[in-house]
Amino acid sequence: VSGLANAAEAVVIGLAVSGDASAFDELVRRKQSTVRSLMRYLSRDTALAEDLGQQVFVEVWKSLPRLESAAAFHGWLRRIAVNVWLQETRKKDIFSSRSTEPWDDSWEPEAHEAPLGQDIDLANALSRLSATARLCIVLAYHEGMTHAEIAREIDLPLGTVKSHIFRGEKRLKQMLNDYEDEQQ
Amino acid sequence: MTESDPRVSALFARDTRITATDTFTSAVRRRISRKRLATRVITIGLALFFVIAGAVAIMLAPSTPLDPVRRLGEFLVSRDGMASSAILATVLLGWLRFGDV
Repeated sequence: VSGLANAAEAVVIGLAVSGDASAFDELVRRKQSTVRSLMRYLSRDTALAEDLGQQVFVEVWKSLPRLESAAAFHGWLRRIAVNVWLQETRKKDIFSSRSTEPWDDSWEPEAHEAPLGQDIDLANALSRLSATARLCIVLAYHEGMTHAEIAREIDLPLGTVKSHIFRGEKRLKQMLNDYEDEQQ
Repeated sequence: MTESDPRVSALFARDTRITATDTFTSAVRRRISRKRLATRVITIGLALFFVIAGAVAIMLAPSTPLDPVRRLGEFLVSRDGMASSAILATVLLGWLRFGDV
């Protein structure tokens, strides 16, 4: 266990910014749970989510010297994570004939996707939403962002974000209802 | 006015959080080491390439590398040369400060 395990977050971030490798490791230890959960909710594939989580921290390592204040770290980390995911989505889009562009809501989940398990699996349920609705829902519920903050973060009109969240919530609740009906 | 739906909130709240593992931290550390190594290899490789290319050019045709050097000197003291040098210096400083090193 690192000697920094009990250090204040601002101290760990400050040391990591100055190039301290053990402080960076401590930062990865502290933040990986949030980043990996975010990636698991956004990606359909667990292995890909882990890979993207690692990529996020590599980006963090490259960009840390440019971090202006420790207080801004969480939002800055989230922005990097969302950008890594968006880049991955666009990269896939280039090689795929099917549009998975996050802003293209024409894509709908396929009927043959894995059924929900015995207990409703959130990642699985989210994977049935369109990419944009999934991103908006995850930022709202996992990251606790307001609709206006999401609109600013992903550069979409507020009305569009609200509409994606409304549709995403409706679909998730429908899945919950179906699950509860099956249980009875 | 609340923006979140209580049933969806409960769904997220119930979900099992991923716990931190040393395996993940080690994987990140390995990726960073590989990236550092690749950057060093590319930097040293490029430097070696230019040194070797220059040495070979001097050995094979001594006048070839000397002529461009003289022309470069003439260009640098001209007005266009000074403007280009200023732009290049600004770009270089920006890259050193914000670039992906």
